Amino acid sequence: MFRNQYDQDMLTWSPQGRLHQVEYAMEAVKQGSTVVACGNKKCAVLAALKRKQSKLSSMQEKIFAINTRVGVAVSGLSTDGAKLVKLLREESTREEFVYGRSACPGRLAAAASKSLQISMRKSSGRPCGVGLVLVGSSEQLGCQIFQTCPSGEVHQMSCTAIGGRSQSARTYLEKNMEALETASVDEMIMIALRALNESNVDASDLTSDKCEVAIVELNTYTLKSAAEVTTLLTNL
Amino acid sequence: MAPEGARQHANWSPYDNNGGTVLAVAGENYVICASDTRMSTGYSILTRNYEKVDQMSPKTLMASAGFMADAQTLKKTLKARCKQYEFQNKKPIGCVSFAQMLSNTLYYRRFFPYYAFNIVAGLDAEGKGAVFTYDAVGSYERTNYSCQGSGQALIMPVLDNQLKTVSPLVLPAVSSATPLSEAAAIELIKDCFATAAERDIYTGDRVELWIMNADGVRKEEMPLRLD
Repeated sequence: MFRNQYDQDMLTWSPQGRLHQVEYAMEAVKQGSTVVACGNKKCAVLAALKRKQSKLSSMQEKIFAINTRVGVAVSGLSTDGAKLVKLLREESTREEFVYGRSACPGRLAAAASKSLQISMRKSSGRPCGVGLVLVGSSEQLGCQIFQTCPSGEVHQMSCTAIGGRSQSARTYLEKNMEALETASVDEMIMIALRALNESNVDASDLTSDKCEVAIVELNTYTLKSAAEVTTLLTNL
Repeated sequence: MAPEGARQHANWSPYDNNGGTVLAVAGENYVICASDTRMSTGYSILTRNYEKVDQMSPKTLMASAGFMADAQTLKKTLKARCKQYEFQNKKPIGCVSFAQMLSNTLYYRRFFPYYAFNIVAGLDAEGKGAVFTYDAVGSYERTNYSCQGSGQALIMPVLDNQLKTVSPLVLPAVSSATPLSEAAAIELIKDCFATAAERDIYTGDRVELWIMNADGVRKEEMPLRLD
C-alpha cells in the first residue's frame, strides 16, 4: 500500500514525521481475529474470536491469564503475542516477589509498553506485530481495560475491539456505552458477545469452540469453560 | 596485633540458627507435616508464633528448620517458580517434581548454601503419602518419615522405633508407606513434639500439624511447653 523510500527500516523517519515500519506493524494487528473488551468499575469482560490455521489444527488460544486478577487477549502475530504474555507473567511474578501483592493492570500495561517501545528504537529488531487488550482489577481503581499496540502506546479504554473486522464491534459498543456503566456481569457478558458477533461474518454461528470469554470482577479473573460459553451463547 | 603467621578469623557470620523442629510422616493415603512455632536466636525467643510449614502447591507442603531468613527466601523463590511451572505446564506442580526442583535450587547455592534444613511432604500422583528429606545443599531422598531441626536427635530415634518398616528388598513386597492410620500418626507426632520440648530449649510453644489427604488440607495444633 505505502511502498516508498522511507519504509526500509525502523530508524528512518518519513518527511511527514511518520515511522512507516510501525504503521505496517499495526496492519499486522488487523490481520488477527477480533478481540472485544468492555467493562465498568465493578466488572469487565474479555471476549475473543478464535480461528484455526487449517482444518486439521486446533484453535489458536486467544485469552491468557497473567495472574489471579488480570487476563490478556492478543490479536496479530500469535508468536509475538506469546512472547508478550510470557513477559507479562514474568513481570507479574517479579512484582509479587518484590512487593508481596498481585501486580495491578496499569503496572502490567506499562511493562508491556516499555518492551514494545524498545523494539521501536533498535535497528536490530522489528516492532512486535501484536495488539494486546489487558483486563484486570486492582483494589483502589476497580476493574480496568488497557490496550497496547506495536508502537508501544498504552491507552485505558472503557471498551474496545481490535483485530480483523473490529470496526463493527466497536460501533456496537459505542452505541451501548451508557448501558455499560451500570451493567451487571451477566449483562456485560451479553454486550461483549453481541459485539463479538457483529465481527463474526463467517457463515457459521458463534459456538463455544469459536470464541473464548473471560470475566474480571474485584480481584478475580476467570476464564469461562466451553460448557459455560455454550450456555451464554444460547441467550444471544 | 595477631602474632605473625596467625590466621585472622571473621567475627561476622552470614548465618544464624533460629532453632525449631520440623517433621513429616507419610501414610498410605495421607501425609502429615508438622512444626513447632518457636523462633529463637541465641538464648532468646524472637517469637512464639512462627509457622515453618507452608503449602507450595495443592499437593505439596514444605517445612524448613534452621536459618529463617534463608528458609523464607527459599520458599518465596520456589513459590514464584511454582507459578511459572503452572503457566508452562497448565497444571499445578506435583510433589515429586517440586522435590527435584528444591534439590536443584539448593545445589545451585553449593558454595554459599541456604542454611535451611528442609522436608517436603505431599501426595504423589497415585495419592500415596510422600516425604522427602534434604540436607542444606540439596541431597535428598524419598522416605516414609523424617525429622529436621534442633529436636531432630531427640525425635528421630522415636520415629525409627515406631515407624521403621522392613527393607524394601525383602519379599513379599511390603508397602513403603507407614501402616499407621491418620489418627494414630497425629497422636504420635504430637507426642514426639511434646517429648522434644522437654529437653530441647529451642522447641516449644505450639506444634502445628498440616494433614493432607484426598479431601484436602487441614490443620491441627497443640500447645507445648512455653519455657
